[in-house]
Amino acid sequence: MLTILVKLLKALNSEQSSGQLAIAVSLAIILGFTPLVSLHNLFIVLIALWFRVNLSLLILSYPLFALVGYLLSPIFESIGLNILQMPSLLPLWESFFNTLIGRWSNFYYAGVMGSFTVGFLLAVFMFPLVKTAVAAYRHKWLKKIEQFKVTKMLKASRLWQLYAE
Amino acid sequence: MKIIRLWGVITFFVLGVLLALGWYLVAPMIIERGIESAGSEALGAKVEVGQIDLTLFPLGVEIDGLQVADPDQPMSNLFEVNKINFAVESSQLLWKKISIDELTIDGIQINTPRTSSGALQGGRATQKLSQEIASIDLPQMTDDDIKQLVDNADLITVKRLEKLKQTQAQMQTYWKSALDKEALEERSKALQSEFNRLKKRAKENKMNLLTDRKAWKKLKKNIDKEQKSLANLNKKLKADKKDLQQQIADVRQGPKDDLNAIMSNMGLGNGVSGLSDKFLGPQFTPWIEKVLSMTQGMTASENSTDNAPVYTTTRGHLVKFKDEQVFPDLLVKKISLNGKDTNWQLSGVGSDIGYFPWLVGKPAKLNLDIAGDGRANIAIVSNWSTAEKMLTQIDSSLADWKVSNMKLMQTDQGNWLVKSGQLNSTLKGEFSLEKVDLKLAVKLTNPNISEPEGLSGWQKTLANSLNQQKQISINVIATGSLKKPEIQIKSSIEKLFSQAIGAKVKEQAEKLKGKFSSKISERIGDLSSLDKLSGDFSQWTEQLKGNDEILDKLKAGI
Repeated sequence: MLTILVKLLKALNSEQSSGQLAIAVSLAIILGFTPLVSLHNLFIVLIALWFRVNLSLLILSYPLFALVGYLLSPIFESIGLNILQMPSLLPLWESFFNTLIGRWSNFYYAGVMGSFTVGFLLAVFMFPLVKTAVAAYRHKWLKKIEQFKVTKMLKASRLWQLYAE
Repeated sequence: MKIIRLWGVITFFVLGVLLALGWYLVAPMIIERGIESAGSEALGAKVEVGQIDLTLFPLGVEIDGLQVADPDQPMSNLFEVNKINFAVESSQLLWKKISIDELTIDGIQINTPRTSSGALQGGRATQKLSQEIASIDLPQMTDDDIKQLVDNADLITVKRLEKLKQTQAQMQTYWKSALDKEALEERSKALQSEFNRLKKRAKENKMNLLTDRKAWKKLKKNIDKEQKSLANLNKKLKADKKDLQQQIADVRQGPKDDLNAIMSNMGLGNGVSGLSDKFLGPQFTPWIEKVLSMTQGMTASENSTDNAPVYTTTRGHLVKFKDEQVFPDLLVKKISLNGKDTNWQLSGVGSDIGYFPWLVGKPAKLNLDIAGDGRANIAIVSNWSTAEKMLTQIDSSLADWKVSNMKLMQTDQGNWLVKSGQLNSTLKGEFSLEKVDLKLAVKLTNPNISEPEGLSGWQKTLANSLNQQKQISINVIATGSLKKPEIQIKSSIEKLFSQAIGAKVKEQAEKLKGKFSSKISERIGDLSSLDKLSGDFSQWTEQLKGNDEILDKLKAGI
């Protein structure tokens, strides 16, 4: 628990831009909501490693979103089924299914489609929100929080030093 | 600040290579475990794989030493396969489809001994075997239970009694009108007075006989007409009397029929009907049910639209879009099977076996030949022209096959095995998605049956009788539809079951019978006055007889 808190604080206090932190949360949402072994998640991992996304925050928030995703899976299933069966979208899904990527995407499974759609929309929605929140934290709260006894204790601890190195 | 993280890219690709390598090393183990756990669960005994080898170029799988234990005799294998070999076409694999050019199954042996027991510890995960054990148990019932059962029963006697009363009322109305005394007397008097008038005229002058000849003829005709009418009434009266007496007899029989119906509902009717279903059913029908349920699973299950049927899978709902790669998800173009033992030799070929089968475009065929002391042939052709249209034909036969340790049935005490005997059997028929028509005929000649130890009572009697049989025949007929198949079993040993079990069931059933009988009598009431209902018939008969005699006299006078 303490390690998680240290990691979170370190990420928030780091010199990384708020965008790098926000994209980590957004990617974690998609990773957590959708089945891990999916083609699109390979792409998510590639983005996370290739670009300077904050990996600590991504790894930290992934289990949280995976749990939420697990709880919401029946809803994802029904949303996905509705999307896949929409008559107007049928030609689109059909042609996508008949491409190699479409075939390996597993998007024809209602659960995958539902969780990806909800995850993607939430990720897009959360990106500016997290970005603004991190900026606001750094601008307004950082100095105040650094004065807290708990923060001082943490900063003085070996754990902090370990991660600082 | 650089946007791209070089070490990240390298890590990604290194991770990718490591994962692929790991999969290549672990895949055989995963496949092995998959075959063993799914096979064991389906069969209820251990399925073991010796070794699995994967080759990448060309992509192929080799399975060595497959052993499938016999669930009834865990120390021997149902069959053993030396080698299973197949190569997968990589071009189809890109489209997530598995196409196997030739699947070779070599070195099939049956009934091979095992070094360790093939029994599953704790049984199947989804254990259902307990349903297979047949026993006869009579229910324990209190007086209140019996009263409630009788009160709620739709008693045949009550219905018959109501019908009898209705018939009797209808007959009363009819015969009162048909045998109206005044009308009959009036008609008789009219005939009599005409007769007297003509007779008087004839006495007065003999020549009047000639003058009145037309009147005499008319009188005779009228008497004949009246007599005919009386004869018809007499006939109807007799028929009505017979009908009423039959109905009275039925009402009298009612309490017995009610008793049988109630006892039968409790499974104690004759105590012994359908025993082949009960005892042989678990042994001879599960495979039919399995074949039918496998076929059921191949059809679209729910929410299907015209263009995109939805299938329920273990990973949730799968929407199957129109596939431009017109090719089944799994296709085995050719299967060859070979195997031999000291006493027999097996060879078989199959072709175009696919899942989903309607995408194959050709009927799937499987033909197996076994030659040895006896001969066996199995031929199956399954043609799916569309997902909704299927016809599977089965034609197989087994001739002069020596059997040993074949399970005949299972009771509480254990398995009843055919230690030795000669088996002849045929399985013929066809089934589509709408209709099932399969017939299995099994004939066991000179069976030597080994019964479980510790038998007593009816089971001991049954065992003795079974061993005296020169031939046992069992017929299984599956009809109905795939969704609701009806399976019937008839066997030549039904009578033996009846004789053996009848005594026990009768003894216990007798105790309940007396109680039911008195409760039924209480509900129906006294039936001793039933004869009164037929009392009027003698009066009506007498009336018809009297009139007929009058007419006879008149006729004689003419």
